[in-house]
Amino acid sequence: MDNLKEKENTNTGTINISLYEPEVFFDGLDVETIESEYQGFSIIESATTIVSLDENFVNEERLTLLKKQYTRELIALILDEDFEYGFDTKADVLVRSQMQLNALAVKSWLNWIFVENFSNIPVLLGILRIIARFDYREISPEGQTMAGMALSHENVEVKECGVRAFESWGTVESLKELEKLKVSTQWLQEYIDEVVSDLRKEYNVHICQENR
Amino acid sequence: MSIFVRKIDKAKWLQTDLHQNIDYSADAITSCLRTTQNTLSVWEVESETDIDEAVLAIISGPKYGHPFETIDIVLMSPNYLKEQGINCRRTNGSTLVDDLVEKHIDISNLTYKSLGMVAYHIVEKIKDEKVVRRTKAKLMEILNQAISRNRLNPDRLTDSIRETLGLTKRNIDVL
Repeated sequence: MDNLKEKENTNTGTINISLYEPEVFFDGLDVETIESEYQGFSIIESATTIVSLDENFVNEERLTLLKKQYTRELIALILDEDFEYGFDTKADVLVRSQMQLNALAVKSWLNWIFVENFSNIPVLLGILRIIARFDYREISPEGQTMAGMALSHENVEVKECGVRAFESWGTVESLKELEKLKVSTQWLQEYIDEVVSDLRKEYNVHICQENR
Repeated sequence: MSIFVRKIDKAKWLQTDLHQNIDYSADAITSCLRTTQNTLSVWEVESETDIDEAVLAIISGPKYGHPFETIDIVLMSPNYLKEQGINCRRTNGSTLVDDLVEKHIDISNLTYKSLGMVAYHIVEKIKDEKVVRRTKAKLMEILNQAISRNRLNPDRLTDSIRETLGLTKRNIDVL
């Protein structure tokens, strides 16, 4: 029976949700509720651990849920809280908890909020500070896309937050992104140059004088 | 003469051109001069060569969850505050580095007027380039140095901070 389940899992897209803890995966919904409320799911075994599902459907549903139920809350937290570098915020906690449920949907959601609020500086700053605190791979690729967009934003603080995000991730890709960046604000350019220098040292990148 | 060090967010102060304007942004005041019981927290160091001691005290605070985020610090003059009649008193600071606990000062009994004087002083210090930025690489170096000199017990740091510093359980045992 176990072998049969495994075969189903690999060949038909069936997912053993017991691996994901169903109550977490479906945010507290029991199997009966899932079956009645989500038409994309069907129970293929009386045991409550196996359901057949369309992964695209799951992600879409989660994204819709995030947009409808959590967008206002996240933006309110970003706007209401006093942010200070070094300290966690309730917005961080909210996004981290949602990331544990469905990272793909959360990254799309954050990206959506970012684009929708591209002229709303406080919201952009809030999103950038949140994504900078995730590991590079966890937040990839949307995180890097957002930070990259921030680098070309006209607002200096948004630009700085983009640089901070790449600095925080501290990867070779971060170095490549920041090396080519030139800004007109002197203090920000000095910061960029320092981060580039730090990353070059970390990755032992030697730049010939004529290439500078 | 000693120096008082306070963490600020330089970008907030530079929202306006401080050399051209006599006014400064409200964001700077509300985000960098947020008082608790009319008090602002600063760390005292002996000279400019010691400012990383204050940085260490700040980033090793027990509630400081993201110690590798680039920070700006402003170097303030205790003399200026004294001349303005602003009250400064020594209190125990919140840091995991025991030998820095007593280096903490509360600028206390602040009012609308005296907070304005502090803001003015910070602006003057920014103009004098007495604001220092410490990037992630430097902050890691500061924490690592404190650990290797047995000033900071790595067991008191969170797992994620230890991981970023490359401190596995085995490495800590060796230290």
